[in-house]
Amino acid sequence: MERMEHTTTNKEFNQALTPGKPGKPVKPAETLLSIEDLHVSFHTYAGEVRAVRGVTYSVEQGGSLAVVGESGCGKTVTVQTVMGLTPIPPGYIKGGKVIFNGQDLLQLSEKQMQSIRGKDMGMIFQDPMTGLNPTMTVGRQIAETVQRHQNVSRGEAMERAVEMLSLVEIPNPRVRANQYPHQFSGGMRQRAMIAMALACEPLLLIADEPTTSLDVTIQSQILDLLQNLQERLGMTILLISHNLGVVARLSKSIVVMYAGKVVETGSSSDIFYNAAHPYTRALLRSVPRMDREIRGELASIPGTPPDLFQPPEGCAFAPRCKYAMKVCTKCDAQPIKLGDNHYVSCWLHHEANPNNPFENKSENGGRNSD
Amino acid sequence: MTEPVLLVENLRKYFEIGKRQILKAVDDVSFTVARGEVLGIVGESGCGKTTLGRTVARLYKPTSGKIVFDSEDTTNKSDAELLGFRKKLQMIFQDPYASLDPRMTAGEIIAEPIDVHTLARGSERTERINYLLNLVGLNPEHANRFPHEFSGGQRQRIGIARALAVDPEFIIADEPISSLDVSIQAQIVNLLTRLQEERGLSFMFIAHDLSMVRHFSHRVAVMYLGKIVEIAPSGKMHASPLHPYTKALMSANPIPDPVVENSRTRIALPGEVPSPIDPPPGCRFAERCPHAHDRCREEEPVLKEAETGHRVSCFLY
Repeated sequence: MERMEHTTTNKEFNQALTPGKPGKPVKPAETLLSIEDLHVSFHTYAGEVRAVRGVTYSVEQGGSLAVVGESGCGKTVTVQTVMGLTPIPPGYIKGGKVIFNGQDLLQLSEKQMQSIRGKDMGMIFQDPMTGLNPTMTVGRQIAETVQRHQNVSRGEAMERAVEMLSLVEIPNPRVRANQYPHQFSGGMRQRAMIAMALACEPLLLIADEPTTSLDVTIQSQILDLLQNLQERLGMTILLISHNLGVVARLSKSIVVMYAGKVVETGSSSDIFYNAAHPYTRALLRSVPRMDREIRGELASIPGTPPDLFQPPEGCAFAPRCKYAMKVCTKCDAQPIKLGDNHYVSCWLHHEANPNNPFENKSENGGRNSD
Repeated sequence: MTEPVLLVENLRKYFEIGKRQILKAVDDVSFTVARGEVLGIVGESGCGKTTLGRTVARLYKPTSGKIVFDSEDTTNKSDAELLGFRKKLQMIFQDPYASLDPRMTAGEIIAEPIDVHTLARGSERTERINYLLNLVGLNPEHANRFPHEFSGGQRQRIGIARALAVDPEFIIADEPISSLDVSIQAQIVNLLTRLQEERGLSFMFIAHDLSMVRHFSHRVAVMYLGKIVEIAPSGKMHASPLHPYTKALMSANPIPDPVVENSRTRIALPGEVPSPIDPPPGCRFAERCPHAHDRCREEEPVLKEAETGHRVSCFLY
């Protein structure tokens, strides 16, 4: 049975789940998920939408990576493809690899994916109501996931569901397990979603805008919970978000996407304090900060993201970029290494460019073209 | 900024929701907005901020209380009597997808208020539409396009042009940027700021994004369960909030700076906002408040001045 394949990892994770024991990553400091040159398109009546155009990034075991970008930048399509949830057709994976825990997920059958999804990979979505079945009790739904992936009885699975609800700090978990989603508030539903995603001790938790539909004080509670779970269980989190504040709080490394491509990757401090791509810099400056008074205009980015029916030939950001050069409209930049894990795809940082406007602001260690 | 353009006194808006249950969406709210002032209204979902905006705009009939706009009592006026009021006060809505008629072109949408108030005809009308489109950063050729042909940010610009078509004095903007992308939000806020300054417009800016509210507003009112719990000048509110709810709200709002964000102390609020149907007696925030004592659960605090221009409704002050 496929479900027996990962018994050892499950056991180890169970140990990690036991309170009092420190979180123990399964394979320390190894790459858990690596997305390589992924291309995904959608065929529509209007033509081919090239939603993901050569995305490469990886998530370390026990790490917390955030993918930031605006709507339509391909951040969600990328992780949906990782989960095998991209509808095909109209979706179409044009190329690339998704290596998760040693195997290429794109080569697996739907059946094989079903044994990974929900078990090795958990996912929480933006809208907790769409992720929950309104006709089933919350406990039953969590138990179903457990029964699907583990060889346990109905009663044991239900016990596990109650345990999970208490792990995500839902008061009266035994009562709550017998209630329906409509009896839960928005924040409680999101907790229930997290409980469901974690029920089979996944190696990776993918959180797609987990707090976007929630109020700030509830958002803060959910972020606390995720932070807490990460510290206690050594869980790997891949966060998708457009909220830079949430990313600053939760993630150690960041991938910035624009128009279906990765434009910059780096540690949280690389991105927040030494951003090298004009898009990243503009994005950071366009958000007002509650703790600071900004006088005058906010730095806005003129125009709108490009149409992915006909992506521009060169850098997709060039038409909105105030530093755009001739080369930017002709060819797309390849990732250039700026620091240990800091890469930027921008011609300004190419060694052949004599006037890099960010020269003195970016870390200068080991600036080699990649 | 002497005489207020808008005066709201003890405003209440209750909704009957069957079985003799009453939802107190706005409960005894008083405030003023000076001419040329931007008053930000913040609060979480269900706090009544949208109902407050809609009641002030007289899209809802108030249950009780008083609304005085431009020295004119609009509280109990009929729709016909409100025509003049509507020319002076306009709204911008949250959802630029739902608030534009999909079967009308951008030009027709902007022209509708001009026609309703018969402000211009013929070539003058066309000129005015083109002027408005330019004003909000669109082109005259956009007039013939339908809403689905525009992006979210562009649609919101059409909504703003429609509100400006009658040359209003006062705009109620209900979450005008929350459905937009970050880079587009800045564009729209800059546009609103420019229009506000150039035309001396007064605003009620309803939002849940505290940082944007701080940036755009002169004064901020914080709402919780149908009440204003604190009202103060924007800088003061953010630098030294007084009400425990405001403090928690501010501390929950993430700051896009990892060093600051990871060194902040946060006030975690237990539980969630209680239902506005049958709100708890006493202070409505008491059951989640870290400083609540017996008096808070029995007696309802009133909004009173703690410092000059800074009013708070809490027994601690």
